[in-house]
Amino acid sequence: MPINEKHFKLLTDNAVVGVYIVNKELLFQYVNPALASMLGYRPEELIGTVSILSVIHPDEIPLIVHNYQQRLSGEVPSAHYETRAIHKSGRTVNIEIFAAYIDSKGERSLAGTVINITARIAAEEELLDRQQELQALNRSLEMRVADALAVSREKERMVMQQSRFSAMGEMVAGISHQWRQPLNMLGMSVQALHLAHAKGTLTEEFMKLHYKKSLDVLKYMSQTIDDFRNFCRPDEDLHPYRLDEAIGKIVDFFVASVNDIAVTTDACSRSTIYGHYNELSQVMFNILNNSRDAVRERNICNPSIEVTVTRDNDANQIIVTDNGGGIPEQLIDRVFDPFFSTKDPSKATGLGLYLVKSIVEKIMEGSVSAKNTESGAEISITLPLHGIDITR
Amino acid sequence: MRCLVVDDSGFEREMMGFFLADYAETDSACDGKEAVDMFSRALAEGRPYQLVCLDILMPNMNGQEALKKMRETEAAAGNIEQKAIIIMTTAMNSREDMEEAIWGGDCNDYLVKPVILADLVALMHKYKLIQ
Repeated sequence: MPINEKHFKLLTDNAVVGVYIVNKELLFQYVNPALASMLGYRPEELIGTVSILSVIHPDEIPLIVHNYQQRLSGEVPSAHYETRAIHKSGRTVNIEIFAAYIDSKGERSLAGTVINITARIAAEEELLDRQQELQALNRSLEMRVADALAVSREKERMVMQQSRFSAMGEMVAGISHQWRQPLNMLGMSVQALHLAHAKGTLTEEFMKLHYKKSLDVLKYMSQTIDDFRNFCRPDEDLHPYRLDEAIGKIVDFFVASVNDIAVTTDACSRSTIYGHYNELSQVMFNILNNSRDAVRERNICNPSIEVTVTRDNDANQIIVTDNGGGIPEQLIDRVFDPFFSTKDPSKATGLGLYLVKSIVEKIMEGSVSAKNTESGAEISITLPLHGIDITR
Repeated sequence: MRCLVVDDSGFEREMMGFFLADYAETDSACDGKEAVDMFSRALAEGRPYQLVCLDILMPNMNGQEALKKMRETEAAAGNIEQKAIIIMTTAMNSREDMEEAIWGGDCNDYLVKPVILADLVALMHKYKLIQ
């Protein structure tokens, strides 16, 4: 069957996309029902009298005119573009046009098909809006996270600072106690010499004994001050120190103020740690003080604290155990939380073990854990072996 | 006069003995437990200590616990002429700890280390242990 104009008319009249033909004056020669409906008209309202430009959005007219001139001149045979039309009601209709020119009976006209893309454009705009909102939200979220992180870091810095002061306070108390005893000995020696002289019983032997004793005591006091300076010196650079020796000195300091508790040290590891000495002392003082408070608060008979230092192929381990009755099982997971304490609120800030965890994990790159033994608590610190280790 | 010096430092026990040599017959103990044993035995034997210089921080049994037990021993002995003058000696740092340690029990007085002989003699005068 030959296909004629009637067939094409049938197809275009029933097409779901808009179809039009305009002459070189841009007047509609044909508009199918789909296009007329898209624009809010009946076909007969447009055909013969209405220019295509009158249904185009005013802002788009220069583009349309340009496109049509290119096709009427044959410069561009066909075009595919998106533009905006005006519905009879005045609202904008987004359309996509596929257009070409046709020469018939010596006349050039333009024909095209039109798709209503308003919904798609609206969806795209909506999507763009959402993306922009999302980006804005992301930016704001990033800023908020950055702000929160800055606040958190500042808080942590302050807590660290507070802990340093607190540790320093402990150490000042330690040294003051450590000096009390030698001061007493010095005082007694001086008075003994004076007394012996007054009684006429001062012998050379007695004199030498107290002279030597006094010098020994002074040497000890001087050493105490050196140790104290090492504890408190703000460490800027990492430097190597022997773990067993450091633990020994820390425990000596601690023992000076707690001679009602049996404190034993078993340092098998002779590892050299590369780091900050005073951070280790802060960590140890916090743990030892907790043990001391536990055995004292519970009036433990024969109170004891044991510090062991061991090492295997991967890490050093410092374990502090006491016989202070332990941590209630339901609270043991929270002992490293900030502002958490099992002690009387007036006697604890709840920052001690939080600081221990922060220093061990963030600065010493180790880990810390707590558990109960049969008679008390056990705090275990694991420090990975890295950096200098001269004893392997 | 009989005096018991209780301190975990041997040097301090020796020096206190030297200081008190002109005033008292002095014994010494190195912790609270030994001190309580000696205090009880002396009381039972009818030759009690008139003066006890008792350190607070000591291993095995601290000064406060020893003070309590000494007073209990005196109370259990009943009709004794004169309770011992017990002077706590301490090197504690915190004033609160010190006051609690000293006044928490039934002691007579205290001396903060370093012990000054003149202060000790003044206390012996105060409690009429010497004329």
